[in-house]
Amino acid sequence: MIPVAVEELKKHFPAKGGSVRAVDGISFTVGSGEIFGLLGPNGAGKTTALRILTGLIAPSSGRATVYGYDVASRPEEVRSRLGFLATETGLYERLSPWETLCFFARIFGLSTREGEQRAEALLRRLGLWPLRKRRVGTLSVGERQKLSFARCLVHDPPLLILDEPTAGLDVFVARTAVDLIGELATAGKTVVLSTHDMHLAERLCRRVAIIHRGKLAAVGGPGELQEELGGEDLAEVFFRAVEREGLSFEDANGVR
Amino acid sequence: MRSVLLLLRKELLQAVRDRRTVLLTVLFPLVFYPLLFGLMGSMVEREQAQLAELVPRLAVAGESDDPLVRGLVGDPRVVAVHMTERDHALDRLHKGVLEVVLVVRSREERGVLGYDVTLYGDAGEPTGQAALARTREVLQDHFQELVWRRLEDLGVDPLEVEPPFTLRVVDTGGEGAVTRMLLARMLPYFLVLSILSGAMGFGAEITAGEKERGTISTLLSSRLSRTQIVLGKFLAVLAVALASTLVSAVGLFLGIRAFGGEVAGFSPMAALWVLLLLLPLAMALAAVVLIVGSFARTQKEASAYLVPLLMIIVLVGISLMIGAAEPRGVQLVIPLAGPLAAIQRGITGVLTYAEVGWALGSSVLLAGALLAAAVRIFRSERVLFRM
Repeated sequence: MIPVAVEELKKHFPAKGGSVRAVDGISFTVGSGEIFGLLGPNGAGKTTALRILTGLIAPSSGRATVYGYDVASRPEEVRSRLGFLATETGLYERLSPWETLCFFARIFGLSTREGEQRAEALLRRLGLWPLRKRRVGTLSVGERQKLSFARCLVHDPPLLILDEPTAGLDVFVARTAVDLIGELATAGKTVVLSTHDMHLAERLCRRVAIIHRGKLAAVGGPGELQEELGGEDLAEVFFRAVEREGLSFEDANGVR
Repeated sequence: MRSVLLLLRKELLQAVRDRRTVLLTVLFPLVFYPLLFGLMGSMVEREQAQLAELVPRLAVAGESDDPLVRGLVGDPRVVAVHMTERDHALDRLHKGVLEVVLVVRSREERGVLGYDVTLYGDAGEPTGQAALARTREVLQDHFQELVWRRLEDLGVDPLEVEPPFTLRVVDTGGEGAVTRMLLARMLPYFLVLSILSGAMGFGAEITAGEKERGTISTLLSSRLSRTQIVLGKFLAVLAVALASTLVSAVGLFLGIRAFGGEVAGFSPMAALWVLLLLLPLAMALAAVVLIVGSFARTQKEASAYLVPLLMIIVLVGISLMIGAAEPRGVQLVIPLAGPLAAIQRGITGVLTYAEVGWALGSSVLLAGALLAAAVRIFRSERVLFRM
């Protein structure tokens, strides 16, 4: 079963004097065990596409499936198979790391014992075990980011959807996050991430989808795209792909 | 339901760890109400003691050789001076040198027995009111004496004269009637305020606050359905609101005791009515807080939207407390005012079963409709991801 399949996906938001096309007919698939990157500047429509994939918002038209389940009609089936990391760490500051993981494990249907076992394994693996009883609000940014990853993994989903996983992190924390994503892929997880960091995409992703102003400019492996479009690095590839599709370089008016 | 309870548990765990919520729902009512009523009690007590010992300062305007004028000036229960000029005496009264001015006119010059007395004093002020009452008592005694003397002049023994009528007042309210009346006036207002103060801050935090901090996406991407999320949050807000109300009731009772009152007149039946009528009211308010919190982008915005609701509650509560509105019968279907008035009637023991039906039925329906609206709003991505 293909982990992610997106066909002619569109999402329009009402706006003054009409509507904003945040996602405008994008199509791609993500294979099992692959790290797939949605690459584009701020306002390209990456977050909107990921929110559709996680079932947070419904598409205006087109179709997206996760392991064969339609995200619009079977959102609960979809969500049980994925772990979502939003741009914000999305943690409850007055809970401890232990309570956070146990809560989400139970919410995803694990028994108390299973949840505790998973929580302990993840906290130990990420070096957070000594901090398990502290309030999340007292943790550093890096520790919170690790905990967010642990929270995504607590129910052992086969698919991870990560929205800008290194945004706002310092170089050390970002490195930890990157290493962790690599480890997860090695362990057989499928990862779909969004980023505007070309270097990160180049380093981590087996394939990328270049998105600009809601439209798909190119899809392929970084090496393949470089070969096809020319350019010294992925940043140059991005500009050439956007130019080739005749898309404007103007900002997309804040649409993410 | 298991997931709803898990979410409820998580929300409550966060609530008890939130200093502001604990302060507002537990410490404030337990400390503030007894302190408020205790202070009020001691102030009232002190004032009453001062008024009980008051010796009114008064001026008597009339003929200096008149027996009533002489009697009053010599009475040790008042500090009285004789003044011939009424206007001069009134000027002294306005300046606060005197509390009462008596203008005594004898009917003798008209060939009639008796007096016409006019009392001047400031009844809008406690000392003036007490001074007028004390002067009236003193005057009563002097009038009595004059009547006796007149009877003796007519050759009648006053002790043999049967009074033309006697008056006896019997209080049918029984023991604690006054406290019960006061409680009926105040309790609904304080309780509904406690529901809202408990629900407002916490409800805004677990709805708009989640959006503001970005934790809402985490929760929405879990296996919980949106209806389950709303139910879990609704139950959490309701639990905190009811806990706040219960603690406020305890604080209020402690306050009444600190005031020197007794709550013995509050029957178990009245307590049952209060609880029964309060529950759907708390449910409706919790649902309103969820609706507003889901719509607002930030906690601050949610709090701003909730202020008008608070004002409405204060207005309705005060109208009922001062007796400006007294809905009864089918009028108890009026949202908010109806159940509150029913609680008042329940405490004073005049609530009928039909009235319970009106108040309870309408507020249960309202709570259900508002909860359904909260679920609907929470399902709307336009509201939930409002920029």
